Amino acid sequence: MARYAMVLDSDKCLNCKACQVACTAENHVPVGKHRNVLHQTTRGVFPELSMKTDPGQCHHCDNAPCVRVCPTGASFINKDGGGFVMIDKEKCIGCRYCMLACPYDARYYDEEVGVVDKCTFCFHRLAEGLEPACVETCPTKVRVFGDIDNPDTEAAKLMRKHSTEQKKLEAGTGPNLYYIID
Amino acid sequence: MSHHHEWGWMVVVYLYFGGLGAGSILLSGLGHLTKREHFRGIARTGALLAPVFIGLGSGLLIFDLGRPLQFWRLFTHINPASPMSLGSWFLVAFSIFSTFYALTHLPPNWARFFARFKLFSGALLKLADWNEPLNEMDESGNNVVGLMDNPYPNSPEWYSSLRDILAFLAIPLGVAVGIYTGILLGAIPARPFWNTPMVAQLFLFSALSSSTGLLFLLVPLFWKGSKRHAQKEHRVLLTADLIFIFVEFFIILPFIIHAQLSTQSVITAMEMILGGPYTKVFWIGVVLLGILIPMVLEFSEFFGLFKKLPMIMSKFIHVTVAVLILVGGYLLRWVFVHAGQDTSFL
Repeated sequence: MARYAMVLDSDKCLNCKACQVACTAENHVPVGKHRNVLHQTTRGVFPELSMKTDPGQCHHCDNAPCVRVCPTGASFINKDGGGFVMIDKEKCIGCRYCMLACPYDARYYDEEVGVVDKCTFCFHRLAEGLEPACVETCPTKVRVFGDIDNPDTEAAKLMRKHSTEQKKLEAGTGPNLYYIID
Repeated sequence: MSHHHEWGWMVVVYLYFGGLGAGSILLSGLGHLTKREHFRGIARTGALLAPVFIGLGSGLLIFDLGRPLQFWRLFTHINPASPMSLGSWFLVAFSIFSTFYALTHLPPNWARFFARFKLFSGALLKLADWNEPLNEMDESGNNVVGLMDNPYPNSPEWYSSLRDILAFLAIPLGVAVGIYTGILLGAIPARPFWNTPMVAQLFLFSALSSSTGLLFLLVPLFWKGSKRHAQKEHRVLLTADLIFIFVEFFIILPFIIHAQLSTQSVITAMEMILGGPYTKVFWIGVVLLGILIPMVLEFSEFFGLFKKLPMIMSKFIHVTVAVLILVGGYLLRWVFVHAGQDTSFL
């Protein structure tokens, strides 16, 4: 069975924010909100410093806490469509419990509509055979999206070649974003 | 570190009112089942307050939603793993139950007043008759009843039994709703400040203590008993609150100590109240004003230290204790709701 994941190489990230722009344009994300974020940390001791940028977004967890706490079934995992964590905005009543339950703070609240929203792995583009907008636009190819159960995909090849880590595994979420660490 | 909080004052007030409703009905049920004349004021007041607080709290909860008009979706779906889903069903059950329970304790003069509006007049007048309590004093003002088989002698037998059964059920239902307000926060691992069962225990005992404070203040408005009655009732509320407030204090201590023995995420989260932005409110507002000072005052009164004080002074102390408990209970929820949202899994 297909198992979709994103493999990220943070060392390649230039913090150009093209992924945020592409995502915002593609998904009509409200001003001031983002579906993908860029966490910046400094390494070293002054004045010998370097910057590291860590791209982040929804990890599309297998055991998603947001889905567990949702009282109306609005947050769900689309088991037939690739196992992504999705939001049925018809069913969302805007209680924001999912936002508190997400250890990655990957969700945002759309005040205007009164519902919570987040990354969908550009589900609508995948259906047309396209890659997620952030993946397509990234100039340094930080993000690679694909089926890691299929050994021929680029994502699976990267997973074979490199050591990767998942974020906050201790939270018991079973995330599907893999960060290259070597 | 501090960012915009998704849950604000409406959730804080809801958790507080939910706790007050739960505590009130629990104390009322206990008061009723003991069948002692001096508990009847507690039974009535608690029963009348419970649906009001639960109603106001639930209203706030709905109003806080992004799409309040869609709140019915909570009831077309059950997710047993979601505390909010189960809690919504609990709240509905509690609202219906507590309304019926309140009717069995509705003061006869209120029932007669409502009967004037020509709506269910017959039923209300009957209720007024059935809810007429046994008079505790004879004509010269001496107390004639102590332990009573039936505090409401005009009630038909089935109605008395119904009232007893409802009072009995009020106790577990009160515990369930009181605990639920804490589980709502405690059941999400992403916020280490909340993620311990102790939050549920703490909220339950804080709710019981706050409800006792509320009854201290409000019972005299709902029940006119003899002076002896009032003294006994005050004494029992005092004893009850001493227990609640002690348990509350001895949940807060292990809550903090255990956190220091836990993972780094929890240790960091606990800095919110150990040097972080909520330190002053927590230690001065919640612990000192809401727990320690009332505890000392109640202890002093319990051992008779205030007996020689003039009436006005002891009344002043009673009101002060009750207000401090109520303020402390609110601040506890304020600190927890906000501090928790500032913490995250490392």
